[in-house]
Amino acid sequence: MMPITWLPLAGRFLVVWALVAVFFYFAGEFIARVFLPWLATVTNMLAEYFHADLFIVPDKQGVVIKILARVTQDIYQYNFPIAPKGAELTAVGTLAHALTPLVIFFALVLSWPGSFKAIVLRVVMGVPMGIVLLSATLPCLLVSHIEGVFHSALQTVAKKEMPMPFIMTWVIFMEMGGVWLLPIMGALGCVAVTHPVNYKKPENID
Amino acid sequence: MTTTHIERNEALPWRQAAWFAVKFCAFFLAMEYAYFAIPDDFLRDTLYFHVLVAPCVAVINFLNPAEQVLANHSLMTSAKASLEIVRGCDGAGTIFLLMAAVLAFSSPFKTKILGFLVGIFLLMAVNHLRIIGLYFIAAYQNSWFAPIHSYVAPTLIIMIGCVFFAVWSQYALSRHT
Repeated sequence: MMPITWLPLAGRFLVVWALVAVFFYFAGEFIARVFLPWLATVTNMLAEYFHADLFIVPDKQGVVIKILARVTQDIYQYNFPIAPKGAELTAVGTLAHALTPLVIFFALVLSWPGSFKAIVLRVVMGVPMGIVLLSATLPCLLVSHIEGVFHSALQTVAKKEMPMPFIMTWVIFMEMGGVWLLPIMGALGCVAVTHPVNYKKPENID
Repeated sequence: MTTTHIERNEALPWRQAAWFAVKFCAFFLAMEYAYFAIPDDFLRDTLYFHVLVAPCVAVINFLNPAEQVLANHSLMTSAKASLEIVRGCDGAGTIFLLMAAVLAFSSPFKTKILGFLVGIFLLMAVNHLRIIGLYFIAAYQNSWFAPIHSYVAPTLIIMIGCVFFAVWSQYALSRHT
């Protein structure tokens, strides 16, 4: 017969999730402001045709991260003119949505059973992992919004379906579940790496 | 202290853990690939209507007949709110994650089938509740819609999936041993 441990386990996961969600809901804007220059750098590394500036602004959807993209060269795709140099485009991504991987990641590393030392170690490891998660999601989302405009323009002038840029495919994959796979894998990694902290070698009994 | 299938004082079986992670990702990617092969119009006009929209509309109208919500393809419309079910709203991502984890976890076939059936039923039920809840939020407390839709509900459903997997894997191990 299976031991009935599901109730405390579920309670632990859900209470930790609620605390982490509340923390990021209120601290999210501050965290985003701290990492905004880094996120702008990553966004510009991903942007092929434009220079991007990021801003945190209030919006009817809540706080959003706005990208202002300035096209740095005349854009031609498949020999079709898409956008002239100097054109400006904007797009937004909601901050709450951008924080979901962090909520899942920290909720998992904090609620997974372990010694206090192991949990502290996981949280310390979670800071760089959280930056990696943010970098792999938000900049891609913002760049794909801008690339989506170019792609629509391309399809309009080409008058047919054109292949989607890789970053749009990546973002669609992320939005359909990848954005949850990454924090789960990250949390599994942190739990696995810190597991030896819990482990006590059995003593030799002769 | 609650324990999961990896007990606190056990050495982690590294090879098994790494192999689980590889299989988990591979199964998830395969399911996502198959999901994108399904045509949009089939999802919108057939699957979403029969599986999500019609049952949710029936429940909403049962809970409050004054709502008079109508189901139209992937749309739920009333005088107060209108919701459209699109790819991603169907809970497929969460269900694929759970199915991939159950498939990747070393366990007997019957236990896996049990994990699939109960897990899919649980996540679908939670997703229906999410859609019904979102309708009432859109109708009566619209300012809450964005944070609940894009922040609270997805993270909560993922946590429910994780709890289910932890419980199921514990059960699977107890059966295995």
